[in-house]
Amino acid sequence: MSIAIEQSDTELTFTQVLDAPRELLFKVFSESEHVKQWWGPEGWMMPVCTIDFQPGGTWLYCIRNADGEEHWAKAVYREIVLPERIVFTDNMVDAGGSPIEGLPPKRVTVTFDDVAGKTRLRVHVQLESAADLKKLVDMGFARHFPETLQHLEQILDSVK
Amino acid sequence: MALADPTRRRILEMLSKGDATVNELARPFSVTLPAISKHLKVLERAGLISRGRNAQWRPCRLEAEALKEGADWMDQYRQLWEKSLSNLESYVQKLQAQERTGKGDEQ
Repeated sequence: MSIAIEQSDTELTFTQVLDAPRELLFKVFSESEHVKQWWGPEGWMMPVCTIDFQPGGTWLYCIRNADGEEHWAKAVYREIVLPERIVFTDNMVDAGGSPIEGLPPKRVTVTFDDVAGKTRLRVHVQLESAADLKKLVDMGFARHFPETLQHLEQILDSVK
Repeated sequence: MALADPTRRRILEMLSKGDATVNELARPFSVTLPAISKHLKVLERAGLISRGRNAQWRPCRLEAEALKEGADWMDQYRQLWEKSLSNLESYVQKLQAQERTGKGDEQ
């Protein structure tokens, strides 16, 4: 089933209807043995995925590609409402767990709505610095940074 | 807001072509140097420019890197979720199929 993507100047939202009960999807989002199986970019493994699934608990993970390149990230669970909603803040970190400077933190809200036995899954990402990025595009500033503009155009095109 | 003012936007455009001193930045405008300095302070506070250490010249520099990283990241993060959610669907289907087989109650 297709994934609908919406983007405003501060948000990114994915909506998808899955043919599975929301209790199962909630479990698949909250237990590391499951998360390891589906989460991550194309061609990357997840050698580390530790989840302390409780408000204030963390999800620490590492993704690694075939060349051995690694990226670490640490999420902190802000809100957990079984089986309806999970809210966490997600940040790239170094191998020691410290946030990487200059990368924007984001707040992710995952909601599981029951639709006659199926589940409408909604992933909502809020990016704090997006408002500034949008303003720069609006004023034509990005034309001086072709590569930035190109990225933004790709994003905007893909969500139309 | 740092970007709301046309003078400040013009200053950023000028800095996108290279570092410049306050005097150089003030040249195209019919405003006083202190007025330009005030605009530069706003831009500096917003993290959009930085000022050199040299006390006399203090050249201004555009801080585009954080912004560019932000845009790159956003693109990557969108792709990451798109891919993951599509994996999720097949993974959940597999789980459900296993569950049915495991319980032996498949129709």
